[in-house]
Amino acid sequence: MVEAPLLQVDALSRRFGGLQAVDKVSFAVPAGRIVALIGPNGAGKSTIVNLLSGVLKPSAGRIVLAGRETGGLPAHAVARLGMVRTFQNGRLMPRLSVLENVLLGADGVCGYGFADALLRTPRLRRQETQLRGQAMALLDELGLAGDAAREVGGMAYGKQRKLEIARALMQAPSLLLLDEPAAGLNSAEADELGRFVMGLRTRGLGILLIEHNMGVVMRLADRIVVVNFGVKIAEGTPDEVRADDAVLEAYLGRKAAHAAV
Amino acid sequence: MLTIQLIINALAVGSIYAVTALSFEIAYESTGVVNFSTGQLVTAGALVGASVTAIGPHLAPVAYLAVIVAMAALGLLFFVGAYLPLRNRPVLTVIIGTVAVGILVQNVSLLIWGPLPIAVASPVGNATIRLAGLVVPTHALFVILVTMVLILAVYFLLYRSPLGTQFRALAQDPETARLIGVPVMRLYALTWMLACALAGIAGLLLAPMWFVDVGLGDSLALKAFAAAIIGGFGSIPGAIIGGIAVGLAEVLGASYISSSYKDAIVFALMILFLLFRPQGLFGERVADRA
Repeated sequence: MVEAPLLQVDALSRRFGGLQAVDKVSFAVPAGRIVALIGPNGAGKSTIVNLLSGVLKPSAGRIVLAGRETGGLPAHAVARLGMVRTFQNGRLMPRLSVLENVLLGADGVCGYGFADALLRTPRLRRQETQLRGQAMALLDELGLAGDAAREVGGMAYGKQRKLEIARALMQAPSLLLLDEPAAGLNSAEADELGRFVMGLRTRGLGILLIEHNMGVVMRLADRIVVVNFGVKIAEGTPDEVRADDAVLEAYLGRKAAHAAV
Repeated sequence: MLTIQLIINALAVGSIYAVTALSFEIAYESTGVVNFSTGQLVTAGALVGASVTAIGPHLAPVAYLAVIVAMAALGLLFFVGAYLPLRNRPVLTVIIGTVAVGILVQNVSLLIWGPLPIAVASPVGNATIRLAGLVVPTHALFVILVTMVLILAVYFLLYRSPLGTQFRALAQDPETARLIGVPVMRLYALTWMLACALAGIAGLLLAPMWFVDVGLGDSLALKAFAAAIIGGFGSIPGAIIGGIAVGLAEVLGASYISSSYKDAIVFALMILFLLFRPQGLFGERVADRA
């Protein structure tokens, strides 16, 4: 054991009535690494993301982020502790501007009160100027600076996906949960997104990537965790996972897997 | 000349409708609840102000501060006592809850202040000033001024502050707002405090024009409701323009058509809007609301 990973998930379980949606899943995400969580549709990936981000409470098991247990905390508390997610179906505010959407990420984490906002105290102004600068820098990096004042509603889908990552980054995460960030992107856009995510990795962020696009997963992930029917069936480097019988079987079916081997 | 004088009076009355409609809108935008206790909250504000000014007329300016504080506290009580327990119920249940709050507030007001009408002094007295041949009540000018300040304050709060971005995010999609870490419960509490404070100020602005009794706000809230519909439910600028429009229709209608039909004129206007332009002057398309 070298040092404790940024995120440690231990025997995480969630039951919906009689259905064991997630069953004793364990894995870790170290800082500065990209771990991909993959599995066929209905494997329990989304449930795991919802458990990690505080949308659902675990039935059993532990989620430890940087030494702090976060399992069972509400979503905003989890975000404040540094685990921030993006959403599969893009949850942006269509009638706010691009910049406002990004700033909304920061609002959740920075500390100003109602009185500050009403009286526009110097403290708030300083903070606001600094956050705006930070948000614009992020937008610039993602090639969205030109759209800062636009309403999000009519923007291209690819840009909206990037915007969502920008918003998540404004929450100053130590661990980023990317829920199918490449869904609906064309391959050029997916490549560009991939490069950006690799850049985040070098900044020391831990990233848990949930993704269907296997090209993206194989290129980006340092490690891959495979789940099926709520159970972890494999874990390893992309090459190891690619060669794993159980994985082939889960994705291709029993017969096809045997034929492939 | 007379017309200009009438228009100034109409602007004053319209301003009070606008502030009340603003109270409606802020609660509706952020929580989706039409607050049927607005009229009684207006009355409560006027009565609190009446008690402060009763101590001495020089305290009239202090009354505004006292009403803001007292009504914000009542708003917090509203949030904890009515909104919080009901918020996961269908919105209709919450709306009926606001009716109950209205009845409660009205009857508690009756217990505290009694049924007799109270006269309330304006911070600017009840003088009139002559301006280029116009005779204008100072209180009318004061009302217009205070309303402009309130509108500016609300505008800055909603459109020029981070808190406002959060408010508008909450109005668009509360679930996402919660998930990305917006302190939703705190904003709901602030919403009710703000809505109650605005209603209370509307009451205190109205108080020197009419006598204050426990029924003061009832008809005012109906007019403000008409203002919100004419301006477009769910639109802050709509509330303001709607309020002024109702004030103009009422005052000008009373002088040029018939004073006994002034209420009928306002509500006929509202019905025309409901029939031919239900989204009001500034209303959003229904599809925009998630």
